[in-house]
Amino acid sequence: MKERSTSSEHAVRAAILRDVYRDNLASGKRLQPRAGRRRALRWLGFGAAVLLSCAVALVTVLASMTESRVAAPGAGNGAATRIADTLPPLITDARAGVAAGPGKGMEWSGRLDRADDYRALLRRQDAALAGLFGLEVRTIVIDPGHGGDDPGAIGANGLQEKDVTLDIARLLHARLRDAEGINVVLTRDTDVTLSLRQRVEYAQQLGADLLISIHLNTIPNDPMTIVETYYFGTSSDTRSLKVAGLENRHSGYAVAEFDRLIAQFGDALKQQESRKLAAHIQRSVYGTLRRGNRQIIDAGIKSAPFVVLLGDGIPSVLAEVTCISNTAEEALLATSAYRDRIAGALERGVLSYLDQLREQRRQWPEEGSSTYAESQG
Amino acid sequence: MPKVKGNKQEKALRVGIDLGTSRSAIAASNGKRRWVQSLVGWPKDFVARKMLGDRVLFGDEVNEHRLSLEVVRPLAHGVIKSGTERDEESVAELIGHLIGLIEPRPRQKIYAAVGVPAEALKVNKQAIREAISGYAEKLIVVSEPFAVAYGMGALDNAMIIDMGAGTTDFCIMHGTMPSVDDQRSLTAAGDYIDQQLLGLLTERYPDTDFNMNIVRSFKEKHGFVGDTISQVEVEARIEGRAVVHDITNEMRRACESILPAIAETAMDMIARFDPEYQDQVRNNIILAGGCSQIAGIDTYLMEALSEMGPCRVSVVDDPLYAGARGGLALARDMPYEYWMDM
Ligand SMILES: Nc1ncnc2c1ncn2[C@@H]1O[C@H](COP(=O)(O)OP(=O)(O)OP(=O)(O)O)[C@@H](O)[C@H]1O
Ligand SMILES: [Mg+2]
Ligand SMILES: [Zn+2]
Repeated sequence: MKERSTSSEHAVRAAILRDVYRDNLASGKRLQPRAGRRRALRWLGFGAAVLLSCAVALVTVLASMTESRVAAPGAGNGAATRIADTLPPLITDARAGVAAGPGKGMEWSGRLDRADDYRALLRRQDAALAGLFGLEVRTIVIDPGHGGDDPGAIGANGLQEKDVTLDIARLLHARLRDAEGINVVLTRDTDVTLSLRQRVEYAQQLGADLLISIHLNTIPNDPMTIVETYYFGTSSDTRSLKVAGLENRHSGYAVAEFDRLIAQFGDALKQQESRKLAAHIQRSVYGTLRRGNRQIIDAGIKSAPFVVLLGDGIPSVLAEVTCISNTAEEALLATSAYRDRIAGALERGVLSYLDQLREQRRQWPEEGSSTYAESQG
Repeated sequence: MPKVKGNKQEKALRVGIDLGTSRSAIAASNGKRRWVQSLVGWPKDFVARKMLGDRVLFGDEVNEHRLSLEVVRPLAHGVIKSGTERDEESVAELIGHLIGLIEPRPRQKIYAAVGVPAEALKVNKQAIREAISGYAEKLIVVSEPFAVAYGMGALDNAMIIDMGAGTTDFCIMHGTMPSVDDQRSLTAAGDYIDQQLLGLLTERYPDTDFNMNIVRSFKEKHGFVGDTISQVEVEARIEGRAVVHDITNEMRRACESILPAIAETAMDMIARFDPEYQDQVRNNIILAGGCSQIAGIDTYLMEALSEMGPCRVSVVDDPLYAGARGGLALARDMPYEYWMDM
């Protein structure tokens, strides 16, 4: 969809005007809210609102997710049922994650044991959370998309997504195995059926620090080839926290609020790190594939609450490395050299992410006494 | 609904009003537009009333007679401060003053669309409605970034970032009126830059007396981020002697200080958008408000956001009036039947 016709723009305008009208009618009759109470409610309701919108977003977005775009006959339904099956327990998991604070894989650096330090941290607008929390990556789980009964997308010449993703995952595994200080694990090493839930639980049991799910895109009836990377996203409200930090600059947080905020930080951390990892992977994969194919399109990183990305506190991304629906790409994907190039690109993405993480950790202590902290007194 | 004669509705003057923390603007269907600083001054006592007359003062006049006045910046922090009648009265007076400035004909009806900071809408929309109701026949209240979006025709898959004085307001448009979730507000905005700049300059040049008004005017003249500008020099006075200070680095640091939070918020909001349309929104980011005039700010944000993929950031042509013009567009487009119900 490119150009919008003027008549539909007219319709949008009319709909918006109606919204404005209704909204003003409604608020005209409403009782005047007491500002003080509102504020308190906003604070109290914060956690609950996050969870609720999390659940709502999950249900709505799941319905329209990439997995249902899969071109393979029959695969769409199967995937959809499996996603639906996993819903209730995963939402509970998310709640537990919020309540329990930072998930596995995060270490307390011991720097944040005083409320003052914490406040200083909140004031840092550029606070890089992982750096501050001392996140150290040790276990990386690689998840080859689909498998077994679920072939994933199928190209015009019969190449199946599940086979390609498995091989790329194995190649990536082999490459990362030798990297310093990390432990790499595959969710499947053969052609087996695994539900999304099984994959997530597996990663959790391993205490995974990063999860990378590998997939191929399909764009029906369009020869275009895109690279895109998704990362886990819910309504975990990083921003409200930041706003809160700014608003409360002068009053400071009560120590009693400390724990609750730390818990929210865990969630924010996960989303921020997932986004960074996704950006590194996207840049690397797109950059690599573009060298051989000028037509390829950078669709950027996007967030969506994919079930497979819903690991408890684990930065997770889902890379749609290229499009199997493009026949030229399909032919390339059938060669081991091309699959290895993609594995190499993924490897560089992961390594550059880890690298900047280390860099951040090195820098933090010196920056601790920033001007933000001082000038707010 | 019975149809009303066309010429009857012609008579009402449509106005769009942008109520800001630092500046408020009005644009009217008679072609006039004006702005004032959002300052309202109430004569403090008997002596002041005698000197100034029994009236309320606005904008620059307030600064002139500061000492005799109780000065109210009614929307400071983007919100009518709760419980203070003075604030509500001041908003009402300010609106009345703005409407006076565009010179309606005697007894001409006013249909107004008023944009207020998103945060104010959330907290006390009703107070704002009441404050305004005395001056307009018909009234709609919307969030200011939404008014900007409407005026620009950015109705679908777009993001407005309105960088004002007290707050930077974000609003995502997706073909409907934005809900609370589509809007965010940060205090990373012009006033914050001024505070940072004042701190940095005082540290670097301890002998020179800077104040908020001075550093704000530096920012408005020379504000920049990145390496758009290579040198900023300003004239200051030390014990009556004129000196020239280089403030390049301080200016850059202060102006850039608000951007990480703004970029993060934009990314976070885009991330929550329907994945299918995230790249469209990313390519349709519009900066508005006074701080959007800081040199290089669009490029800086574009680079920061390109972490998510290709994106495009543009600045509105007319930051001072973008909100008021949007309000006027709303007031004009709003069907007559809708107005009648308000
Ligand atoms: N040319 C300029 N360059 C840089 N900053 C500017 C310029 N002109 C105005 N500003 C700054 O923009 C801010 C005011 O912007 P604007 O008029 O959009 O705010 P407002 O609508 O009153 O505030 P808010 O939206 O927070 O209620 C002030 O901080 C002012 O110093
Ligand atoms: Mg404004
Ligand atoms: Zn897939």
